[in-house]
Amino acid sequence: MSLLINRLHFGYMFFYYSFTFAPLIILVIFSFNDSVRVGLPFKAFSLKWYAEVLSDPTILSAIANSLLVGAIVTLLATSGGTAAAFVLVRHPSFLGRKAFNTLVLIPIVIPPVVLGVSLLIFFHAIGLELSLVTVILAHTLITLPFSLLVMVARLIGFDRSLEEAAMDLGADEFRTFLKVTLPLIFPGVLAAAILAFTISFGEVAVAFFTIGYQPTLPVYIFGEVRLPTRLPVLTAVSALTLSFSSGLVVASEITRRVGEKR
Amino acid sequence: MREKFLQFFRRKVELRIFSGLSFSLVWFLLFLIVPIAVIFLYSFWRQEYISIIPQFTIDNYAQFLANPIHIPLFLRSLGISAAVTMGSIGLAYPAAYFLAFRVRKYKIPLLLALMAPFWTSYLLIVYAWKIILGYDGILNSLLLNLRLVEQPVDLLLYSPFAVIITLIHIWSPWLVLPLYASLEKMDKSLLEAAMDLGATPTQAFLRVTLPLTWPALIVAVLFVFVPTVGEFVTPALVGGPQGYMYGNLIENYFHLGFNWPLGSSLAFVMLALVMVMTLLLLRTVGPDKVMESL
Repeated sequence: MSLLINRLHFGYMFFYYSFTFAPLIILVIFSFNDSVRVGLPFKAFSLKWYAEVLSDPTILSAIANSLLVGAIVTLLATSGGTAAAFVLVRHPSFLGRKAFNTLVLIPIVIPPVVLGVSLLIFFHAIGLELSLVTVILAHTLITLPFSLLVMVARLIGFDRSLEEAAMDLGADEFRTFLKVTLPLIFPGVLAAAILAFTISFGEVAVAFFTIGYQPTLPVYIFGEVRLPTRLPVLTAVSALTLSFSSGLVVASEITRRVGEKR
Repeated sequence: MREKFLQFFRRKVELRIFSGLSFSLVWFLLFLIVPIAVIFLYSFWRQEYISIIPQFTIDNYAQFLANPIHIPLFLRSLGISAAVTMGSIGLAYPAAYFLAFRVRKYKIPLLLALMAPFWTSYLLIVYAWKIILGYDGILNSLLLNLRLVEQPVDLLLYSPFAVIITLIHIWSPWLVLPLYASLEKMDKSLLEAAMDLGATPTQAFLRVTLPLTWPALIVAVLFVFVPTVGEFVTPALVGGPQGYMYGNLIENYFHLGFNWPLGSSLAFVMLALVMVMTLLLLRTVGPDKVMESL
């Protein structure tokens, strides 16, 4: 009986992991298929779609736009989120804390289409022309709660006696922060930064409403996906992005665990 | 100068709190609260050709109710989101249960593996399903090659089914983590006690395990149901006319249809529903608990 249950469990896990990963693996496999049709039979191994990606200036500039937006958003969201996380952890009760907590959750739960159209009207109303700048403003809002929550989780276990020791030895707040606090929280900051970057790099719905003429990569893919002839090239771009972001996630987990060991 | 500043800073706790929160506060107020207030305002204005006329009217809300496609689409979106939420929980719960109670080795790598698809671009997952389910797609070509069907099955893509399966794929791995965390934290002696008192495994699960993981399930509803109600990217790519959702309608009023005030009223109706749901759910668990399980 229990053997049967164990087998059922194992079978279920096998099914669940296949369901989760098969579509992504299929995407990667077919990016190497030498055929304009993305489907079986698998004709021959070829790198030609990758070569096409690298020689397509619109795709390359979309990638560059995404990297630029991601980098600036990461900088803004991580610093803003870290500052707020310090307050939330070190001042457990202050006036309006509950309201602030709720405010943090809103960008996570709000349907992206609502946020997108609100920002579109808002930027229009204040006369700010849509461009990568407006996407940066929007993405910073979306990623800020995530960076903040990661930093809160990291700071809860922070040992303050080291900071106190530095202060006792005569360092002021600035020096203590730079020489003691920052090195200690650095793995957490890095994890928060990588998270913010991956979210911004993949975000399409809000960017779709706040973008000008220069698309980010997901917005570009979203626009091209309707054209059947573009499918193989897009498959190659997707496979590239996929390996890039999974690499980042793995890197962030490694840094997080290194941080926990210290 | 620096010394003076520091002394001032040390004395004022409120100032330290405020300066730490200032960036987030500015961002949340300027790019979240104000824009929401602006669509609220717009939803009471009207549009003539391309100019917006700032004159109070409830016309847009009347149109929302009068148009025969708005409310059915709204209900369909709620139905699709409900199906996605149930499906994601249904798939994720056994996986989390197994990882918490049965797996001993490689727990963390197994959990992390499930995070990878979530943080991978959402669009790529939708795209992968598009090429799998398409008329010319991988599933159809597989079925044809195996001679299971004579003609490609054209019901796979461009249907509510395609939207639901894609969204379940996107959200369910993400639910495994909070569910796993709450199962792992659970006091296992409670289960033993239930069994000692003669409960069957099913009874023990329903009356002990399930209630204890309730907060995680609430979080699941909050973070899956609420954002999916407004989906428009997935239905646009894999939904077809039958899978068209309320979010597509809003998108349409802002781009092709070009009626911002009407679009705003539609967006605001959805936002109101979402906010009421979120506040009710938060009241049952509390925002601190929600943050913890993220």
